[in-house]
Amino acid sequence: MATSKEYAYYLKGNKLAIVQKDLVFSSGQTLTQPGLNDLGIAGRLLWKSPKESIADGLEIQYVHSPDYFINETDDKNTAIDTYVSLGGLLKLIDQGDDNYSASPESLSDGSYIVLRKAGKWNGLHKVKEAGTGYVTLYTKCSDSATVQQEFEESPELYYNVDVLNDEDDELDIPRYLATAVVYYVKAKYAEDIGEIETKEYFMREFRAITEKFHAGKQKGPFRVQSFSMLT
Amino acid sequence: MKVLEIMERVGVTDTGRAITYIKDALEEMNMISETHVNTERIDITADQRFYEFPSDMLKVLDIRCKNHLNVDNEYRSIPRMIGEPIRKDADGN
Repeated sequence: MATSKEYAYYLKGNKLAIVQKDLVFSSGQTLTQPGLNDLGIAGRLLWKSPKESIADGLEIQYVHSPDYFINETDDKNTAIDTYVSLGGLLKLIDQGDDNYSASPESLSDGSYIVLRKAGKWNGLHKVKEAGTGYVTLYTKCSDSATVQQEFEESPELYYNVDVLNDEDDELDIPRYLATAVVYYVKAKYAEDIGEIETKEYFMREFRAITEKFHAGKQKGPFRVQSFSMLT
Repeated sequence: MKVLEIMERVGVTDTGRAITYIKDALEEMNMISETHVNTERIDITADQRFYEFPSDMLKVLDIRCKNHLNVDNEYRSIPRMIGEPIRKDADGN
């Protein structure tokens, strides 16, 4: 049976710090009645780096920009298992030696892929070169060129991707929100020619539509409840 | 709505610049109202305090840990600390 644990987080630069409450003092004394609010001098000593490794132990729910569209989610490859830095660029390696320049992936210079379950490499990437057992991307990577880093899970590489890069592309947002985009673009063009008042007017419209869309999804009044722990 | 329709409504013809601003708009929009949400799971490693965010992340909605205050393997939201713990990590951060 799994044991209950107690975690907390804080931010340090662009990194997420995870700490776990350890109820054992250095003297060996164990506290049996911990309090999460116990953040005094003694309490702060109880928070340490995670005590044990937990597979998939951390889950981050986040928002990303819809500047791409995966045409078919079945068009994916899950054979990528490691990566290295090749001249400062991210190189994905497949130990199984699939040929990524041939069908069905057919990747070449300028193609786009989307990575999921790839940890920090999640998202849209532009392909520089593809071949048997590897895909080199234009994505910057500062890591070892010789020691292959393993992904924690099998990353999903989606190769049937439509990127927002020409006039025929459709925005993957509701039509109502697309009108807000129109206002934003107008604001930016106004800013470019120094029409600051016009820019502010369009930005106000942009925010109003976006917030109305957001509020439109919520039923009833907003309720605020305090989180009586560490936040 | 297509990019072309947005350009016509704005009254511009330079595609590259318009698309750049549209991408900016989509990011700004998602900072205010979430339209596209993703969830990523990362291994917790013993004695490793710092973890990287996904590169395509704009805004964090929730951070959860497995078995946080439960024994049912549930992922529950973890609180954010006001200060940093006294005990530092081995990497000095």
